[in-house]
Amino acid sequence: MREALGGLLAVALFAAAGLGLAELVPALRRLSILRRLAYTYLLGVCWVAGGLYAGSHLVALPLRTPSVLALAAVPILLGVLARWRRQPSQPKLPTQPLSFLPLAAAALVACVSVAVFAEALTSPLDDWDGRMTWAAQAAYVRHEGTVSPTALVREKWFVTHPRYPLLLPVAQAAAQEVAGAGPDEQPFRALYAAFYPVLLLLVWDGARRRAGRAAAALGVLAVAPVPLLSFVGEGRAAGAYSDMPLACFYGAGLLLLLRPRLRPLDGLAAGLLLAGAALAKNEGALLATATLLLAALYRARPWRRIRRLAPRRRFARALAPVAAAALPVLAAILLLASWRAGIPNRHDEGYFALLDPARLPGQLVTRLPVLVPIALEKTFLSPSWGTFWWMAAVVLAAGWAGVRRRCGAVLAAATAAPLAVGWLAYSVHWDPSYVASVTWERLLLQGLVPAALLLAAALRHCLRRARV
Amino acid sequence: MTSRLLSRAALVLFAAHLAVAVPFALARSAKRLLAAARHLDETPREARQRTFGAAYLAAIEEARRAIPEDGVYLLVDAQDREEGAPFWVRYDLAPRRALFLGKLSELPPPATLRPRLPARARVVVLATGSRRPPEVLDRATFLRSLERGAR
Repeated sequence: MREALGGLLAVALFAAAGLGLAELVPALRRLSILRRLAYTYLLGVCWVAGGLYAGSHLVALPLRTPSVLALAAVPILLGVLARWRRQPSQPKLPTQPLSFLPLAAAALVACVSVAVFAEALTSPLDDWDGRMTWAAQAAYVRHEGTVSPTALVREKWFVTHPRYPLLLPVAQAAAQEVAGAGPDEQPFRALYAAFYPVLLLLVWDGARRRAGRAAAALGVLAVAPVPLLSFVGEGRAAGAYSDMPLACFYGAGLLLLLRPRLRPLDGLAAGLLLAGAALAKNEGALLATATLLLAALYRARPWRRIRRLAPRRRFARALAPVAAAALPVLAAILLLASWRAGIPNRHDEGYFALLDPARLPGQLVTRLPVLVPIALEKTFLSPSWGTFWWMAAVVLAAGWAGVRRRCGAVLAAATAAPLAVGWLAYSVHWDPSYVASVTWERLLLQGLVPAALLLAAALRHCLRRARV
Repeated sequence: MTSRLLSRAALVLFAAHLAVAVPFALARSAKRLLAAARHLDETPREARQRTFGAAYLAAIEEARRAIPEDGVYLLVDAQDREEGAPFWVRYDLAPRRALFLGKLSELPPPATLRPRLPARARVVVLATGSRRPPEVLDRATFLRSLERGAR
């Protein structure tokens, strides 16, 4: 019970820090509290764990409770101050009564979320990468109170993937510190469990804006029961893989950058979320960069419509949020490079060392006959995904006319980006079929938020066409 | 007309997905909730014993007693087949630092191995399987057993 309370306290601390940050972000301030919650939790994790990561590496900030509380207190105080100074208070938008579909979706998400938290807080961690990499790294980090513990920086000690980004292990260590966890107590598991409702709130928020309440609720109903998200397979919220956090940071950053009328502060918040993606997993930096490029392409066109401004100012206004978003991403990538410089690599694939630009074009093509059957099997026949991709493929084919717009193209590219990164990795790996068979399902998870938005838009189109 | 039929077919498939996936998700959630309710008052030790077995837990606790938290140990992969056992032992013994010697069957003769071992590492842990208890030996006993060809 103590463990559970400690875990929930850590989740509340991250959410409170994010809530403070959200008060400073106009695009988030406009959202209802429910839709804002997902972004606030993610922002809180990025701010606190990212701040500890940077502080520990750059100025030897000790990863102990006072540092965690001080970092969380800054945005909370700023948020309170911003709210207090905002005069007069903004009029509240009228709330619509909830209809059956949103209520059903909310009930399903609530049921599964409670069960995920219950499972995470009463059963010891027993997944593969969670124990092999993320939680083991967190134990070394917490013990020495630094992101460069002896076990990582001295080559002779046995550590797998020592250069993997440490955002989630640092968040784990922060949660363990705040909860005062002893040996074998795992309050950090609540952090991962929270990513389940967060991902579905992101789907609800993004789909509601693009497809309306009914289609958004259907989108949530379609995604929420996917076994991989909760209890089955590698990457579930009841475990400690970094794929679901990455899916959330990546999806949230993308959604924020696709909003209309963004200001530079909104861009900074999106950049913080994408920095979280870059610091969560190796592929996160590539996905964050891809998001910035997609957002720049998406936002570059509407500036033509702002006729009353001079062309240079129109362009600047459209792209200023993306430029602001690039700053935290760049900082995260530089931090990662600087931290990695002190960590000797071992027990790791070392993809960059395997990359041979001269051979790559050939490898990208010649390995497809091996990779495509594995990808198809893991997409359509995996118990972890159940019937989701069968249904999604048919609905998207039938309702594609409803998403064939500029935003649809961006979402499709964002869904495909993790798969493209995987394809690149499989093309240089010495055992492509093995690595594809153990990672493909998680790559699908990483692109789930944009995929679910496409699905919701296609569903809306199908509903209209079928005159239901 | 074709478009309408296709849309209807897609909606039927969507309904079928919900009809299959939602009850399964609710059933899985109910099962996990009931299990959690049964184990709510367990200590972390009891929860670990339930999941990994008493023998595994006893071996890990023996290793933890033998190696201080900031200490080091020698880790050997003694699995019959790949089950990730060295990773699980390393995780359960963290933050103690492991010096990985490799697979038991591929270790060099004791005379070659002995001088390579750091003086601080006095305990050897043999990871034997995913849920099988690791063997915890002192260094001299381990090297003697290698010399006798007992391993």
